[in-house]
Amino acid sequence: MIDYLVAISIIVGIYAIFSIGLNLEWGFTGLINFGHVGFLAIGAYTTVLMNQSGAPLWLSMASAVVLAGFFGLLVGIPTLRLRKDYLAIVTIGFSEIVRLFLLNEEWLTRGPMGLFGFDRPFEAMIPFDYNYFLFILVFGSLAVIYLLVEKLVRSPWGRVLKSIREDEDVPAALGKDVFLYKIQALMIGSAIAGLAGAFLAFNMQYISPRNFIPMETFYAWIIVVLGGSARNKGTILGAILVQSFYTGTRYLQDYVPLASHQMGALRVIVIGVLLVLLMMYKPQGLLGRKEELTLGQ
Amino acid sequence: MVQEILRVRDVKKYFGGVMAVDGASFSVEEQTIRGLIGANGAGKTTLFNLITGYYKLDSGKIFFEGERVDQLPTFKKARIGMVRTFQLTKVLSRMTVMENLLLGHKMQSGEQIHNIFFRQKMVADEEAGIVEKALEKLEFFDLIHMKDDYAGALSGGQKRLLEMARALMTDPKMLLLDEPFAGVNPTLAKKLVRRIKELKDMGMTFLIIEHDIPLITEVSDTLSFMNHGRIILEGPPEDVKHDPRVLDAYLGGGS
Repeated sequence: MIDYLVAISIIVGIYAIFSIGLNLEWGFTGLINFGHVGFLAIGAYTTVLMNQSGAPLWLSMASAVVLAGFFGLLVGIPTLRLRKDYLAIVTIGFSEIVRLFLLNEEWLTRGPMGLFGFDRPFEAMIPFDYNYFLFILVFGSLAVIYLLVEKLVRSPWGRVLKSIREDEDVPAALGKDVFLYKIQALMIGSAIAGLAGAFLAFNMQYISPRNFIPMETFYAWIIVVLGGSARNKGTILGAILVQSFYTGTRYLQDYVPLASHQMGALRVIVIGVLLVLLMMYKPQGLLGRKEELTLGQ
Repeated sequence: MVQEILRVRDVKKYFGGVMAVDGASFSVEEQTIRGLIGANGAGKTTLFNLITGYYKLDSGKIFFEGERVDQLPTFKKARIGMVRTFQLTKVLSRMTVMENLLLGHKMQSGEQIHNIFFRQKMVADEEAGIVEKALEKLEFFDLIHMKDDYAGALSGGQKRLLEMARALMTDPKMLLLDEPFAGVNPTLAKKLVRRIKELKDMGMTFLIIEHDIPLITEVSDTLSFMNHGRIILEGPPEDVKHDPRVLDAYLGGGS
């Protein structure tokens, strides 16, 4: 039972890290990134491919984070000067390009076969169940990421991000280089997603393009909106709830007369209904601030 | 000696085939208050947007303190001391009044990520100074009692004051105010006129678009009248106010 809880918690932790990256972009800066999963994929594949070609694990992970951030820069440069909705379109296209690249460039990624057989941090040195160690590692990283991001958003830098979210004409009129801040937010959010990707690979010990479908991006959105945008604590709570829901419904499988694919579809329906109810009765999210919603622009 | 701070030369802007600003030229002297009046659609706000870099000009030149600035983006113009407010107030609703002001201070070290982690003391000290300055401005504009409220909760008139206070936080040389008295009650408006004059005495230059003729006459040193995208008249407010062309535009003589 404990083993099982640990296994679930690791997934919660990974999604929490992944979603905190999105929260920085959407919750604090107002950037609509519909391709967050692309950066998760870059993180996972970079870690695994570099490690398999002989690089030490720490270097592989560091490269994964840096490369994911760098792709954030590449996506941001042409889009962040444009209106908000362009970023949404371009990012969703970007994440699909990443996935299709991974699916088709078999010489590099083995395509649909996926990748397995790679190191995990300190695996040889852990005398007990490795999952316990991974649990500590993921939650240690989550704590660090949480604290770093909180420090950032409470600083004058975070104040500029929030002002961009509210109305980017204002910071521009006050002498802030809005573009620069949007790029920074997107790069940091993407780098965080890259780190989550490395942990995802360690946890599954096998990665394939199927792990990086657009739906993953929207799970992160559900987590952020459910918890309350611009509340990192809410994001963590959202990750716990969404994952519990998934695990819980898997248990229900034994008790309802539905095939597993029907059950899968039902889950999505229920999530959709719950989100509609949330928007009707608690639109600010679970930990969001109600006052903020009642303010006119 | 009177020093010119802003010079606009033959500035033009078309939207599609429509000429919004059609060769406007004028200059503003340092430490003066310039009013800009004209009927709706005369091109006043467009001219503002051109001066502050929100629109790109199709032709013409703009100089600020002798330097050509027409190609600079808005944020760079703000950095050299040319700061505007908006006709439709733009407060940052989901930030507090205090946060709105703190944002205004230019070139804060805490706006750079490496300083946040590696120069915490410097950032904290600077922030304390900015808070101090913001409290002064809030005092000056009678917003001090609202400092922890969300800016979105302010009244229309208070939002205008907040915008002006926030613009002042940048330590501008010149403030461009787009209809600062619109939606402000008469008592507050009188007070605002006094505030603007006080700021002028402290060295600030103003360019103000306004439809309220009595107020703009009271506050301005010189009045410019804009019609069909050009500045066609300029002079002491009392003279400009009584010019037949101005009366025509405001009293609906048609053209």
